[in-house]
Amino acid sequence: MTSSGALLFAFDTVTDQGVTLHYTKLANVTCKLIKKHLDIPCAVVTDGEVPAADQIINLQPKSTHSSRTIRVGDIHQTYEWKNNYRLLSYDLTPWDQTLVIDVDYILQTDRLKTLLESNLDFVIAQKVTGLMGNEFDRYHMMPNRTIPQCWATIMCFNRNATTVFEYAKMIADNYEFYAGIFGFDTKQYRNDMVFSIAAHMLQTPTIPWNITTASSNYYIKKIGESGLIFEKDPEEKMLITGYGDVHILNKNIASDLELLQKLENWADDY
Amino acid sequence: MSDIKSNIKLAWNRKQAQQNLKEKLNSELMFAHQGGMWCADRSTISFLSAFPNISEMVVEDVYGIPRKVNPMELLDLCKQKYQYATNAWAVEYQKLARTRRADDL
Repeated sequence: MTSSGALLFAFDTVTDQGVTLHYTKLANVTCKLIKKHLDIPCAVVTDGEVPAADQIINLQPKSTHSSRTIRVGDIHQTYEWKNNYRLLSYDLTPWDQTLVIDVDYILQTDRLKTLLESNLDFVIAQKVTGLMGNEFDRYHMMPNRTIPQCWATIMCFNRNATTVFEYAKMIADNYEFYAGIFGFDTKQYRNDMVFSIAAHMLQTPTIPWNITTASSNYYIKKIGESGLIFEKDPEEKMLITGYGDVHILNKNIASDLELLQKLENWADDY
Repeated sequence: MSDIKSNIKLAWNRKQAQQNLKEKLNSELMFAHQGGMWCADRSTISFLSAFPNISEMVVEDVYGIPRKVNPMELLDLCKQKYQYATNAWAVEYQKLARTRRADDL
């Protein structure tokens, strides 16, 4: 019998300003939402604890020499981006059919079930839309505007996807070379770039609907029965309803313990 | 007073909320069946309705891959998906139409 499940990656980290990003707590919320909406088990690759996970794949984060600058509150902060295990998703997953999603991808529907039902060998997110519609238009293509950019935020694959991951590993091993060709920065390793190239070269399908993404200047204002309501700051105070599943880029979601607790309660109650 | 001021400043973009709701509808029209990915939109429903007496035919899925399907079976699924998704859309749309202020969210 074919097993299906979700695979998440969660490593807590501390920024240069001393702010802790509690990705393991966020993963706990995401595991609960996955079970609620998709009814599949979750495996989490982590060095910490995620009580809601069905399986913990305990690994120590590898040094990536890749830093990321984010804004938490009003302060820009830098931290080491521990994102290199995603490349090993095929090797690490305990499932025959795996759905990889970011821990900051908040599920409010069962939409992703369609990917599992399709049993495609490999499918990745490509079309992204912001809460205001067009904020991510400039990311539809790679920096040199040659091939479409994909997002490793959501990937779904089965045991026939060996070639995709082998190709992705080859690209990662030659990151500087491909950065030169496609115009992306070598200072920061990004799985999006690696899998964009692999998906294009192997002509893999992409998710046929838009992935709603709340960029980093959106904050969660309300959480409740009607879902997530966002506030846009600082340009204008505006509330935007985030219907459906939303990828939240604002790292407040991982640093604000009160918000994390509210999300946890929401995942339990609604 | 500062709370009142901040609430006054809060604006709720109904048009954008409606567009976000439409995005959700568009995603909910997608479904998997017999190895293919399909969109339960009006054009698919119209096309499949033109083949009532055929038990098997080749139809192109959303990825441009030709799939052998039973058109009536696929049509039934499309109709179910369409009705479910659009009914939910209509309900949420009406809620949005009644919401006048940010506090009502």
